[in-house]
Amino acid sequence: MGLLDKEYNSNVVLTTIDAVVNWSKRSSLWPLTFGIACCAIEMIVVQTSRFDLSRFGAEVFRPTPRQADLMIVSGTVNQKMASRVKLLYEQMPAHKKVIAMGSCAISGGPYVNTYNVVNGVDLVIPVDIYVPGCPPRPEALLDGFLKLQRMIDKETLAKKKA
Amino acid sequence: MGRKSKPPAPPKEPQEPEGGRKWSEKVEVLLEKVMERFPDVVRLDGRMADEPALLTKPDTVVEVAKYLNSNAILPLNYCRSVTGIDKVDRFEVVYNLAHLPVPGDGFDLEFERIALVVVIEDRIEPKTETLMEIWRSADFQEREVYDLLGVGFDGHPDLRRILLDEEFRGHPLRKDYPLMGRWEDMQAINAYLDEGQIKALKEEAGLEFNPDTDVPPNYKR
Repeated sequence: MGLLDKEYNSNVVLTTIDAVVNWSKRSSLWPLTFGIACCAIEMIVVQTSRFDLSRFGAEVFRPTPRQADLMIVSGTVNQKMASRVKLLYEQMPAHKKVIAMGSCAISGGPYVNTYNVVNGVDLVIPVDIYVPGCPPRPEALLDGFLKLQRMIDKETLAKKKA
Repeated sequence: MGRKSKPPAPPKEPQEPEGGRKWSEKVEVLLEKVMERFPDVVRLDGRMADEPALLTKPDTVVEVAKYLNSNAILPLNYCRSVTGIDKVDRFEVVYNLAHLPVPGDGFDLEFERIALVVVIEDRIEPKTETLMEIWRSADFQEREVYDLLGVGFDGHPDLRRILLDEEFRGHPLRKDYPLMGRWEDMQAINAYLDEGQIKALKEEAGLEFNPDTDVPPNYKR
């Protein structure tokens, strides 16, 4: 910043558009209220005062996909559920992120290759963060959430280099 | 996949429960009445200590059920659950019936109960009569039996899949459904029972063996 050194008073802040946009995106994620199976219990605990997801700016779980931009797939996705999960995902407004929580959502888990289980939710919708465990501890989900925030921080509005 | 396995032989079950039968006099009287009224079509299985089972066939189940529901001794006014069992050579649909006290009778947690078992010997196109008209609570549960075991219920107004998706093929709780994978993989797997084994099972149960109806096409090697 050699050129701009000592040019401005202390009430002027210098930043980039990317940094501001990413900061606003990552500090106000709105998860979608839906749990598929037992991992949902751990997801609910993350929201309580003991683990307190709201420290990171995602305290309100929205009951409608149109007001949410983060989907936490917490549990086994079966063949009948797959189309419903996809429908919810498509109803969410853009800049949306997906966390696959637990073995079942990642790969089918203990139910892999059985008659009605999808072998991983990434066969249906794109997934950003995988949180392993069966079920993962709430700390693991928090860690996944922080990784998602770091991922958003690296995003840029600029054109990708060819 | 492709591993041939034989189902374990059923354990020899005692004909009478240890410690004797525990059901009440009212149930005993009703059982006697039922056996008197339907001597040829109903068989009593008293091996469960606290719940007698009445075995019958699909074509007679409606009249037996109507009698159980409307008799004066112990009207079984509540259908607790409907389940289906694949017994390899036959299907069984079990209605767990109970007598719930009507207002004025007093209240007792130990309600009287009887199991009505429909034995379906046709494995290729198994079907029975619906009891939905008698006990409305059988509606969804019969659909579940249809969904997972493929047993049809004649007269059911809305018989379609309830748990699995609509495009699903096959019935996964059947013993010949593959343990891994889906119905489409089935062709690659040899069924684990051959004609001789089914014949032996039938004879052990004291039933007549008919190769045309008893051996499903999936079972033929």
